[in-house]
Amino acid sequence: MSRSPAAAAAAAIDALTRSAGPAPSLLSVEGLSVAFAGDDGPVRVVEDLSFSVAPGETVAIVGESGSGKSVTSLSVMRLVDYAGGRIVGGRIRFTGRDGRERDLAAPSADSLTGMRGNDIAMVFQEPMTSLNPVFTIGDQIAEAVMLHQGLDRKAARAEALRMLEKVRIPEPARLLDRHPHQLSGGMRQRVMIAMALSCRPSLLIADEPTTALDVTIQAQILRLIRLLQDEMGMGVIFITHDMGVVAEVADRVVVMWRGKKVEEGPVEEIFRAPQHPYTKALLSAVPKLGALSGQDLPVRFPLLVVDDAKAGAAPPAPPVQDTVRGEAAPLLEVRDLTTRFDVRKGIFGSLKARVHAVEKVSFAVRPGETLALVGESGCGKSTTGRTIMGLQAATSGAIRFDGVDTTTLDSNGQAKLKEKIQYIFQDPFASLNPRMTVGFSIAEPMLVHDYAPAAAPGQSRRRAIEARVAELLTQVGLRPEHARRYPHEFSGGQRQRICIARALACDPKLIIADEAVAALDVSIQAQVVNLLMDLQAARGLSYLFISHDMAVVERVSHRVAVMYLGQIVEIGPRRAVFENPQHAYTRRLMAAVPVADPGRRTRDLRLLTGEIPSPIRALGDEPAVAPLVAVGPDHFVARHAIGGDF
Amino acid sequence: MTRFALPLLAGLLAGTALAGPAFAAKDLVVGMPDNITTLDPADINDTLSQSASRTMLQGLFGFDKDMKLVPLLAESFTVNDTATEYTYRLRKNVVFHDGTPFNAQAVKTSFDRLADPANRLKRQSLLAMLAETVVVDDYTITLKLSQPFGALNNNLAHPGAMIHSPKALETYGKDIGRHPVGTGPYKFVSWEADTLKVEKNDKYWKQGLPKIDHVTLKSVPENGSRIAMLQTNEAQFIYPLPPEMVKMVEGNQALEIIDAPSIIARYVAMNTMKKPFNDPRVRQALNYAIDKNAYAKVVYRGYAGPLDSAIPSKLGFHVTQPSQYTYDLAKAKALLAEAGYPNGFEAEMFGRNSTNFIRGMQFVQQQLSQIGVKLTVTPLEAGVETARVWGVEKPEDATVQMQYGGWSASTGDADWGLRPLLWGKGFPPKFFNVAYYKNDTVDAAIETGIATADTAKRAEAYRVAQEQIWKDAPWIFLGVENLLAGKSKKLTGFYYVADGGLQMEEADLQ
Amino acid sequence: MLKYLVGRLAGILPVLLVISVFVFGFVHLLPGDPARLVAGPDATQKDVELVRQDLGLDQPLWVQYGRFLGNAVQGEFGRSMKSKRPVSQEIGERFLPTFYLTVVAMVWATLAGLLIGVASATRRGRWQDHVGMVVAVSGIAFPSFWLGLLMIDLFSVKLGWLPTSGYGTWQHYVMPSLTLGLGVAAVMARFTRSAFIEIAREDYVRTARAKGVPARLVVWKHTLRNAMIPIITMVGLQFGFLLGGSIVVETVFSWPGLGRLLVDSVNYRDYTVIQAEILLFSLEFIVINLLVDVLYALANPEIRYS
Repeated sequence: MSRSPAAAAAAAIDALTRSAGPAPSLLSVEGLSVAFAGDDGPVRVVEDLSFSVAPGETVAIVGESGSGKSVTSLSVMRLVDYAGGRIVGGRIRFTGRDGRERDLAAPSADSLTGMRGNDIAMVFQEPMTSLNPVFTIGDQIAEAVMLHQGLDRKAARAEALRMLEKVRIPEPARLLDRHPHQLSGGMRQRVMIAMALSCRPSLLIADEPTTALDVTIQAQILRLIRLLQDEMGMGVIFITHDMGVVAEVADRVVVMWRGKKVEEGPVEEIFRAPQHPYTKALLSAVPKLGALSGQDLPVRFPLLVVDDAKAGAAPPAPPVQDTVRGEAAPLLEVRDLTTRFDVRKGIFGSLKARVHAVEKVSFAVRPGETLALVGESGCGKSTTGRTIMGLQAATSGAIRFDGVDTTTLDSNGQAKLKEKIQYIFQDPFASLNPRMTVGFSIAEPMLVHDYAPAAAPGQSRRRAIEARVAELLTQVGLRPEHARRYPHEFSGGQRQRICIARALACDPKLIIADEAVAALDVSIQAQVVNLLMDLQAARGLSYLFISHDMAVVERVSHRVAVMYLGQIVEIGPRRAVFENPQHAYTRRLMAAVPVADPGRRTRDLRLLTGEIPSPIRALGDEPAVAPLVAVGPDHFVARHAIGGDF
Repeated sequence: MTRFALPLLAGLLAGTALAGPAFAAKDLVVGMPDNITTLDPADINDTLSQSASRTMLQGLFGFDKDMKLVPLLAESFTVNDTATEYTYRLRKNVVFHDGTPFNAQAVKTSFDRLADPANRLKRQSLLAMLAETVVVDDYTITLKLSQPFGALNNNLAHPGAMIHSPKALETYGKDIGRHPVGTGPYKFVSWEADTLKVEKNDKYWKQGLPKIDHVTLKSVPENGSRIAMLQTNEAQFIYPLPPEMVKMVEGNQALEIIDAPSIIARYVAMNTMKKPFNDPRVRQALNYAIDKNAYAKVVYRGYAGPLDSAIPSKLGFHVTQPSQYTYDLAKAKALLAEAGYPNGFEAEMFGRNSTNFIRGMQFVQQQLSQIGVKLTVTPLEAGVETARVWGVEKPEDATVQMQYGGWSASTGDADWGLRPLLWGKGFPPKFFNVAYYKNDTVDAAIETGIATADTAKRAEAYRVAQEQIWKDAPWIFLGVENLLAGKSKKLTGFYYVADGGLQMEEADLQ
Repeated sequence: MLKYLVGRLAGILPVLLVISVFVFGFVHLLPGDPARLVAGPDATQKDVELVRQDLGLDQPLWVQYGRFLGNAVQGEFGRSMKSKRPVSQEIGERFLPTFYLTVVAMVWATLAGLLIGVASATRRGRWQDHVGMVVAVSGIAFPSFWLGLLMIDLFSVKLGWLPTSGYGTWQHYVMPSLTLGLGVAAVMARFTRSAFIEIAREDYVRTARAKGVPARLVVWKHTLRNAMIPIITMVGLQFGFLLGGSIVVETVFSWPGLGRLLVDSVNYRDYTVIQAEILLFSLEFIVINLLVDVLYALANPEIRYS
C-alpha cells in the first residue's frame, strides 16, 4: 500500500476529524455558534458546539428550554435564518447522497433548498400546527416528492400513498384527500414522518416529535421512527428534554446546557455514570416510573441543584408524604358524576350527537390526600376537574364538598366554594393577566372573595393583604419584592409558582392541579412537584392531581384513578395500581411510558397502532358503565362485559 | 412589486390621452351645485330646478335679466281698481313642444291645477287667492280673485305659474315632473340621475332663437370639480363660484367671472318680544356695532354689497334708507347703556351649519364682543334648525334669541320680501317672522301694498314700511350677497339673474 | 353546501325585518320636519300642511310603518318625498354606477394591496417594506377629497387626458376608482402584510421550508393561501362599505351614485328614499357576508367540512 505523503496527511486529518464518531460521519458539526438579535446586541444561543452523526446512528441532543438544542437542529437545516438567527461561526459538514461533502454553515448555503427535505428531513414538535391546514395530506406529501424526485402528480400521489402505508396509517387511500384538521395528533405526526421520509433522506432531525402526544401514541411514534431508521439506514438527530425518550431511542447522547455541550457519550454511559454536574442534576430530576416500587407513600424528588456547573451537595433523603387523615370524613365526594356536551349542527342547531365526557364517575378525596386522575387526551379527566370547580355544569350526579352538596348551593355558597377549591391550570402563561402585577394577581382572589387575611393589630386590610402576598411569594420560593413585577419578567416555572401562590391565597382546602407541571422542564417540574408536596405537608391540603404523566403521578399521589372514555376503569392506592395494575388499559398505559434506563429499553419492535377512541356518540347510544369490583384493599377495577374491550 | 406600480399607472393614463373632450359647436354644458328635484315648476321650491324648467316652460310673465317684469305668453292685461279681477290678452301662434296649441284653455288648465289645494302642489300659495278662471275667448282669460292682490303679475312671473301642455298633464299625470312639455326655447330630451339634457325647440315663437342645439345641465356638487370642468371647457358656465375660488378662474384668458348683486338678503333676526331685544335701542346698537364692509370682506371676500333697507335693491319698490347704520362703536355702546346694558349681555345665536354661515356667525360674534355682547354660536343642521323655528306654536314659547339667516324673495317683488318676514300676522309657524316683529304702521303698509295693483300706491306703501322697519331695526342688516359664476368667454346671451335663476333663451356659443 | 346556502338565504328575511324596524325608527327620530323641508323655505303653514297630508305624515307612526312594510314586501318603497318618483326608480338608476365603480376600485385595490402587502412582508424591515408601508399609511391618511381634486387638476386641467367628472365611458372610471380604491389598497396592504407575517411564523410554513419548497412557492402557495382566509373577510367588509357609495368620491367626481343620493335624501328628510336605501345597504351587506362565508369555507377546509 503506497500512498503519497499528502494523501497520507489528508487521511490522517480525516481520521482525526472522524474520531469523534464511531463510524465515518454523515454530519459533522464543528465549533458551531449561533446568535440571535437581542435588546443589547447579538446573543449567542449556541456556542462552539461540536458533534457528529454517523449513518444509521441516533444521536440525542438533550437539554431544557433555552439550552440551544432546537436552535442547533434548525441550524443544520439552515431554517434558523428564518427564525431570526445567524450562524456566526463553525462548520456543518454534511455528506450528501451524491458523496460530496458540503459546509451547510457557509453563507452561500441558500442552495440548500435542494437538500432540505431531500437529503435532510425534519419532524417537528407540534404535529397539530406543522401541517398546512388548507392543503390535503396527499398534496402535502406529494409536493415534496415532486420537488425532489421529479415525479409527475400522479406518480407522486402513488408515492405518497406508499409512504402513508409505510407509517402504518389505517386506510391511507382515504387519508390522501383529507385535510389536517380531520386527523388526530398522532395521525398528523405520522403524516409528518411520512412526508419527512418520502425522499429517503440520509439524515432525519426529529425535534421533540412526541412531546405533544399521549404516551401510548408516543410509544407508537418512537417505534415507528426506529423501525424506519433500521429500514432506511438513515442517521437521526433526536432533540428531546425527556430522558425516558432518550433512554428509549438514542445510541449516543449530547447534553446541552446554556448553549454549550457539557457532556457527550454513549447512552448507557451517560445514564450509568454521568460526569457533568448538570447531567447528574438532570437525571436526578427525571421522574422514573417504578422509582417508588415498594413504597406506599409519595416521596419528593431527590433534587440536585445545579448552579454554574457546580453540583450542590447530595440532598438528604426526602421525607415520605404521610399526610392523609384517613380517619376524617372525605373532603370531596363525587358520586355518579356525568357531564355531557351536546353536538349541534345545521342552521337550527339541531342536536346531532353527544360528547360523553364524564360518565358516572365516583371517587372521594380525603383531607391531606392527593388523588391522581390519569388518562390520555379526551378521557374526561379535565372535564371532571372543571365540573367539580363549577366551571362546567354537571349533567347528573352529586358532588359533596366538606359535607355540603355543591349542586344545591346558591350563588353565595358557590362563591364560598370557589374560595375553598382552587384550580391551577397547565399553562401559566395564559392564566396570568399580562397587564397586572404579580402581586395584584395573587391578591385578586382575596379581593374577589372578600377574604380577610389575619391582620396584625392596627393593620389596615390593604396592608394585611400586602403582607399576605409577600408571605405567599416566600412560601412558593419567590421573593416578596416580586409582587411588583409583571408576568413576562418570570420564567415558566416561576409563573407556575405564582399561580400556586394565587391558588393558596384564600387558604383553600382542595387544589385541582390540571396538568400543572406538564409544560415545565424536568428540573423545574421536579421543583414544583416538591413544592406542592411541601405545601401539602405544611397545610394539610388535598390535591386532585390531573395528569397524563405516569412517572410524576407515581411521585405525587396517594391514590390513583385511571380514566378512559369518561369512566374510571381502575382506582386504588398508588402502590397497588402501579405495581399490580388490574385493568388492561392501565397496563397498556404503564407499558407505554418510556423508561429512563437504556438497559430496560423495549426491544420489541412490533409496531403499535390504534387511536384513542372518541367519546362522541350518536344520540341514544348510551355507553355501558362497567361496575367497579374490589380486587384489593381500597383497590377497584372496572369489569367490562367483554374482557379487555377498551 | 411596488416598482411595477408606477409604470402601470402611467400606462393606464397614457391610454386615455385620446379622451379629450370634443363637443360640437353649439352644445352648452352648465355645471350646477345640486340635483334637480323635479321639472314640474308648480311643485318646485328650489331655484335650481326652476332654472332648469325655465329652459322648457314659460308663464304669462317673466323677468328679464335685470329682474324687470316682462310679458311672455301674455301680451297685455287689465285690472280693476280693487285688484280682484285681472284680464289677460294671450300671445297667438304659440305651440307646445308636443304640438298642442297654446291658448286660454291651456292657461286655465295649468292655473286651476295649481290653485286646487287637492293637488297638493308646493307652489299652490302663488294662486291661493284665485277664485275663478274664465276663458273669455281663445286668447283672452280672466282671473277672479277671492281677495285683493296687487302683485298678481309678479306671482304669475314666478316659475311656479308656468304653463304646462294640457295634453301632457293629462298623459303623464303625477309624473309630469319627469316629462315637462312647455312652450319654451328648449325641448326635453332626457333626465338621468344628475344630468338633464334639452334640445333646441325649432318652432320657438321668438324669431331666431334659440341658437344653441343642445343644453346639458349637470349637477357637480364639488366646487373644485365644477371649476375644473369650466377650465377644461367641459362646461361653459358654472355656478355658484365660491368667493375663495374666484382666483382660479381669474387667471384664465378664456374665462370670465360674473359678479352681480343678488336678491339674497343676509341678516340676523332678533326676537323683538324677548329681553333684551324688545328694546329698539339695543337692536340699533347691534346694528351700529357691526362693520358691514368688513362683513362683506370677511364672509364673502368682498363679493357682497350693503343691505341698505329691509329689502335688497334688486327687488321692486326698494328704497335706499337715508340714514345708514354706519359702523360706530361709541354710538353702539351709548345706546346699549341708555337701554340699561352698559356692560352688554349674553345671548345665543343659531343658524345653518354650512361653512359660510358659520363664518358669518363667528364674524358677528367677534364684532358684538367689542360692545360687551357675548354670543354663543350654535350651528344647526337644516332639519334641526327648521324644527327649532317651526316647532313653536305660540310666540311666547319661542326659544329664538337671534337667528342668522337670509331670504331670497323669488317673486322679485317687495311684497314677498316683507310680508313673510316682518308682517305682524306672520309669526311662525304661519310665516317666517322669526323676529316676532309687529308694528301697526308696517302691517298696514304691507296690507295696503298687496291690496292694489296701482304702482304708485304700492310704491308709497312699501316706502312707509321700509322706513319704519329700518328705524325699528328688528334685524341686524348685514348685506346682500353677490352672485358669482364662471363662464366661458365664448358664451354670450346667458344670464345669471339676481334671483339666482338662469336664463339661457338667448344664449349662443361663438 | 346547498342546504347551508338555502338556510342562510332564508335567514335573511327576519334580519331584514328587524332592520326595517330600526331604519324606520331612526329615520323618524331624525330631528326636522320633512314636510317643512319638502314644502320649501318660503312655504306657508298651509302649504306645509298640504305636503304633510300628501306624504301621509299626518298618520300615526304605526300606520306609516305598516304601509312602509306592506309596500316593501312587494318590493315597492313608495315615492320619493322630494321628487315624487318611485323610490325604486330613484335608487335603481343610482345603483349600477356605484356598483360598477365599487367593483373596479375593489379589483385594483385588492390586487395592489395584496402585492404591496406581500412584498412588504417578505422584505420585512428592508427598504421595500418601509416604502410599501409609507405608501400604505399615506393611502389611509390621504383625504380622498384632496387627492381627487389633485388628480382632476393634474390629469384633466393640466394634461387634458381625462374628463374631470361624470359617468359614462371607461375614462370616467380612472380617477374615481383610483381615489376610491386608494384607501382600500392601503388597508389591504397593511392587512395583507400583517396577516402574511403572522402566517409566515406558523409551523407549517417552517415545515414547507424543511421540505425544500422553493422560497417563491413558500410565499405564494403555502403562506398566501392561508393568509387569504382573513383577507377574504377583509375584502368583503371593504366591498360592503364601498357599495354604500362613497360620498366624497361621488361628490368630487359628480358620480351619479348612491352615496350622493343618501346625502341628498338625509338633508331633505326624504324618508322613503332613506329607508329604502338603508334597507338596500343592509341587504347588500348580508349578501356580501354570505358570499364571504361561502368563499371563506372554500378557502378554509376546517369550515368546509364541519
